[in-house]
Amino acid sequence: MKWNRTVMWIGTATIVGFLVVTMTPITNMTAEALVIPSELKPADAIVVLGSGILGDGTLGYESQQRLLFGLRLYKQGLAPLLIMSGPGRRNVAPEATVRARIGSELGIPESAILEMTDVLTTRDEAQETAALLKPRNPSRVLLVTEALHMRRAKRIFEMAGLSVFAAPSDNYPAIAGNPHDRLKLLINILIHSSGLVYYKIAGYI
Amino acid sequence: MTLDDLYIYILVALTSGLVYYLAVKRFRLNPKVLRPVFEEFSQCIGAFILFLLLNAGIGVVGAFFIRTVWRFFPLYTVTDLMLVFLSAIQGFLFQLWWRRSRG
Repeated sequence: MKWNRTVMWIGTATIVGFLVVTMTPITNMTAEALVIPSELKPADAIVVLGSGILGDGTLGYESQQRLLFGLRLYKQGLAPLLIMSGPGRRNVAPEATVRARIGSELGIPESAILEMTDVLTTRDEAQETAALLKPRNPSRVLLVTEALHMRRAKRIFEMAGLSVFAAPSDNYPAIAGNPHDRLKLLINILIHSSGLVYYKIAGYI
Repeated sequence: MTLDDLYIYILVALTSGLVYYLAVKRFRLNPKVLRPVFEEFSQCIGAFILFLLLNAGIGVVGAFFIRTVWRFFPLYTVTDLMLVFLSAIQGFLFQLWWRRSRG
């Protein structure tokens, strides 16, 4: 039967592919090819991109990771301004507000923190950042997001007229060493590559 | 990779070997049937992948449709792990149904 043969080949290819991507470093190599190297230079602002807030108002793991890295960059004196991004959910404070609160509690002056709460996509974040920074006339931002998201994020921020230094908040492509982590890495590669293709097709970048 | 990374895979390999031995020696299962069993399993996996692609494709189109006619709808919704499990159920059931109906 033609159908049975077709699905058998697809299934066999999937099983072999699954073993290859989880048991060999090919996934790490693919991810590392997509990653933009870190450029930690003095800038006018640090922009910590949103990643999502949980239903109880706490930050998710990825959000915490980005926040922590943004706070460290601020403490290192790389920029005088910290822009926190992230919308809210129903009955929950926006991610940006929660992050700003944590920043204040950890000693960042409130005057050094700006919040972007009405942003839903990376493109929104780029446009809102450009609008926020326009009166202050700075042009260089340190962009904090996960490594695999950085290529699309950097490009869309540049399209908004900003000079961008990449500040990836993780090194996951290099450290994912076991099959479970590699599978997660593969899913992230697929998500962010699709995002990149979508932004290109839509003419955003 | 360390032993911690490989532990569950070693565990599964050991239990597979043990069950194979018991199945053949004790329960007299025919090892020659394993090949067509693997083929059927591959077919089910193939059908699962096709359902996953179908669900993801329609899901993306649906997300854009909701964005157009109603409100912002995140594409990340389509990456929910549950979609993988549900597609697997769809694929396995469909393939078993197909085999029973069409051989």
